[in-house]
Amino acid sequence: MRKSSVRQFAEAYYDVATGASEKERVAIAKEFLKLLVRQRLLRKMPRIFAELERITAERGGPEIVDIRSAVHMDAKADEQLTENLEKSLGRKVKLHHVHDAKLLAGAKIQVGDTLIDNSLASRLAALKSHLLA
Amino acid sequence: MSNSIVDVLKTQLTSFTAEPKNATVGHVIDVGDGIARISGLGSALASEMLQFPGDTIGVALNLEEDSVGAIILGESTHIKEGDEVRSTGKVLQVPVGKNLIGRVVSPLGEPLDGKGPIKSDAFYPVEKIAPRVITRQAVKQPLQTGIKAIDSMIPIGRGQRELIIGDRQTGKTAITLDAIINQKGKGVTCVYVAIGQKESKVAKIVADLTEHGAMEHTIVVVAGASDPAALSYIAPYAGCAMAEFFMDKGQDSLVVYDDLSKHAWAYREISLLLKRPPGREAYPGDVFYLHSRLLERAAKLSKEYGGGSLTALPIIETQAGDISAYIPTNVISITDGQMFLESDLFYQGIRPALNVGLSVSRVGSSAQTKAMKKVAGKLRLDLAQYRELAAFAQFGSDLDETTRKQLERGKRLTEVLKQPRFVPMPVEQQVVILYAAINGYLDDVAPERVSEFEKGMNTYLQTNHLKLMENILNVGELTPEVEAELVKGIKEFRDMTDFVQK
Repeated sequence: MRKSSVRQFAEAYYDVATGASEKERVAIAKEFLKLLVRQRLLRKMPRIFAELERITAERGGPEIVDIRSAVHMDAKADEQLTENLEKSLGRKVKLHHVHDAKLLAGAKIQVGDTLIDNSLASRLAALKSHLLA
Repeated sequence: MSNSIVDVLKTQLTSFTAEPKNATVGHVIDVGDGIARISGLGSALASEMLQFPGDTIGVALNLEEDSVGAIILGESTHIKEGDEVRSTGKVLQVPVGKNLIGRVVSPLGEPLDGKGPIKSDAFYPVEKIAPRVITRQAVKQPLQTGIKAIDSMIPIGRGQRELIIGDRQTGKTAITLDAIINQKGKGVTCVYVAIGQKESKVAKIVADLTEHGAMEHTIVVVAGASDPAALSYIAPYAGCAMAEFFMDKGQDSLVVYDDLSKHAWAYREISLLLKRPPGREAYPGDVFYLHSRLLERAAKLSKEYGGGSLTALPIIETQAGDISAYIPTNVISITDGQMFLESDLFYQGIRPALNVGLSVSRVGSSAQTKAMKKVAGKLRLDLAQYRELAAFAQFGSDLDETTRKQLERGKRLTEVLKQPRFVPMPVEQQVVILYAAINGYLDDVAPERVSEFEKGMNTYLQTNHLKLMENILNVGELTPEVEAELVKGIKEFRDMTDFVQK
């Protein structure tokens, strides 16, 4: 039997879980995990979840936006960022914060496969390669 | 001193702008054997350059449903699972231009000879669609290799693709090196692509080319045996792109692919690692296209498109003389002819070890000068008859006069066609010695003294009949007057010296 792809798992899960009640969803999630364990596919789980997020966004759900920033952002900044992103993307967004002190300052914003990089760390890296070239 | 450094830094800093970058990214799922699988990168193009961490470049080859399969060009040990990969939006390209001439470079155009960085004029994509029918013109200008046997019987025209095929150690590379050395001062830029070869062999080749002054018009592209298969895979395409630059400028170029069997192996390795289904001899299904799209890029452009040319000399190494294996038959069918080299001939001392019966050039004869065509026709016939008779003559010793004569003639012709390495011969001298041989002026010279005779006669004619030699070269035809003069010159030399057995 051909192995199912990550995308197929995510799609199947999405199809089963949409429209189910809260209680059913827990049961579905449990069954899904059991299936992954049985097929020894737990290591694919992060990718399946990432794919699931993408499918949710594709089918009208909010777009998950990863924000990796050097400092913790306050609520006001969040609100403003959400508003700007929704305007430019033309759809609802949901922010997902990650704190990363290695960026020094600024932030990296990732929507789907697109990355907007405005961190000090990457600017310094660019300067380094510019000077070395 | 320190001030100037500060100044340079200042100007560099003013030219530096740091704007937020917008990039498509993905993450490495798994990596190994020079291959990486990457999640994300939904908008990646086929054969797009990918930026791995640490300035390593990859090329997207497999675009799958939820991942991208990529080859890594260069060192891949520092790449780990989860690393960020950025798409560049550009298909793979290499630096091209005049500054590459005389250099030894990697398939990515980076210098390997320690002679400093290369400032390139332009970038060319590695994969390019070959010139279309409209832009082409028939092959009609000769590309002289300086090797008598080849220029007379298997002539190569500019824009032709002539395969050189044979077992290991039969002198395949030697022929191409002679051809490159003979292009000195003829306005042909040469590119030698070494694919999966020992670095020591490449070093020897570069030393030979330098010694004979051929590096002044040559680019050497090296994907060594220790480099990953990905580099071997792109090397011929990169070398071809470097030569195309000169063709597009209206100049002539010559590319040697040494050799395409190793290229096919490298591609097989990559394909199997990328989990493409194997076919015959475990090569992937598109191994024919792999070579046909490369060799199609050899062309002679028409005048309206600059009139440049790109001649290709691919090399194929056979196993135990088997030219009917998969890759050899593929490449034989793609090219405009082949030179078949045999180890038996090589050990008999016939070098170049050309099997004249199996070697052909399908388009080159229209590129020969009339003078050469005249001597070559008779030469081919005489040699064919000799081979037939030689097989018979082994059985009996009682031979009639004509047979004996033909055997003697054949022996001398074989002697004439022998040629040491690195001594390319100008076309007019080739015509003279071949004319003498097929018209019986060598029949009474001892076979072992033929090469001596040849050398002596060429010097004699070059000093005493310079006008004649120039005529043969420039007019390119043996008119009755020229022929009479030539016969006179040959007879003079025969009478003057003691080569003729009384």
